[in-house]
Amino acid sequence: MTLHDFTFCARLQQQLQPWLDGALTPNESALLQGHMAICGACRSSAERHRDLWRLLSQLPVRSPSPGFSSRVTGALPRRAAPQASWVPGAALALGCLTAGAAALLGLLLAVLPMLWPSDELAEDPELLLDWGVEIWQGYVGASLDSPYHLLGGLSLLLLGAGWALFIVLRSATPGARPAHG
Amino acid sequence: MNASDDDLIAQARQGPQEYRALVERYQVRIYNLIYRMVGNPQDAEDLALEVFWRFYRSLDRFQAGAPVYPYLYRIATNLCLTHLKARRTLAEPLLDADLVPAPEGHPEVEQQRREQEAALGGAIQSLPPRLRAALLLRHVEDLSYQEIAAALEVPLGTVKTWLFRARQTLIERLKAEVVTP
Repeated sequence: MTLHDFTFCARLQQQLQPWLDGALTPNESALLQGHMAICGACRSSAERHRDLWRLLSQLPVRSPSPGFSSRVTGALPRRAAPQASWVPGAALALGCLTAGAAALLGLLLAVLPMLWPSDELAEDPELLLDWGVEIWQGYVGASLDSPYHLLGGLSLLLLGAGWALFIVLRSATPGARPAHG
Repeated sequence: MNASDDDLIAQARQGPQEYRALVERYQVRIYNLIYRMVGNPQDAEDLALEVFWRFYRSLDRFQAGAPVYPYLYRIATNLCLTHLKARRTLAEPLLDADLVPAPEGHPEVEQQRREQEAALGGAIQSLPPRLRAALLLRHVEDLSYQEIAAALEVPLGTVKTWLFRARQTLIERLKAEVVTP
């Protein structure tokens, strides 16, 4: 065997495993098989590899002892009743809607007495604008003089926001998890 | 009709007893893989239990439609590698020759087969854990190079190198007693 033959064989033997794994291209496979047809050393090396593949594929399959699945499930705690996936989203939406409604209601209660323009005002845009400015100034003034209007609105707003926050936090709390381990 | 993995996952989310069907579907494959990795039935069973407990705890995070088995063998492989690292001793020889059922064919042929299996099992156990894992994922689980790379979280080239080294080692070790007739 010449040095050229030796290095060629060594290079092809590197390809034996990928060949048996089916990872060579058709051209590479053809080259390898062509060489093995004329090279006894590479052919016997391929046989040893094939024997290993065969033995590995024949390793008997082992099974766990009887009752294995019972031991798996027996050690696990019961899970908390699963929540339907739409519940957190619906609760959140309901909370937000309620908060918005409460805020609106509070605002209405605070300014309701001042919200009714006369027919005369409603027909003239300029007068209506002036009236709006007066309303705002009057509301701020009234709130400063007698803050009950403002407090009423703010109380309801805070109540609604608090409830929405409660719903959000409750939705974000993870459910009971198995504690095993 | 066999339930799909998705059906079994949905069922398992209801509780441990409902999880049993999923365990029974995969327990033999997982146990067999672990057994070949650690070479000891008791350790294999303990580790297989841990695999299924871990999977149960991760059910809430498990993505619907994702394949179950790759998830399980990743848990199993990682657990085995950690276990072998912690043990830091050579694994005990495989007990194949003792555990294989009584032969039904020609006694001498069966005896030879059992000896081959035991020798191969011992040779596999002598491999470094990561090489062993790559070899078993390829030959026992029939995974592709890419799947092995993903399971062991190493580059593709590393998998090829590990497989090459593992097989060369096995061929060398078995040359005298198994592969050569």
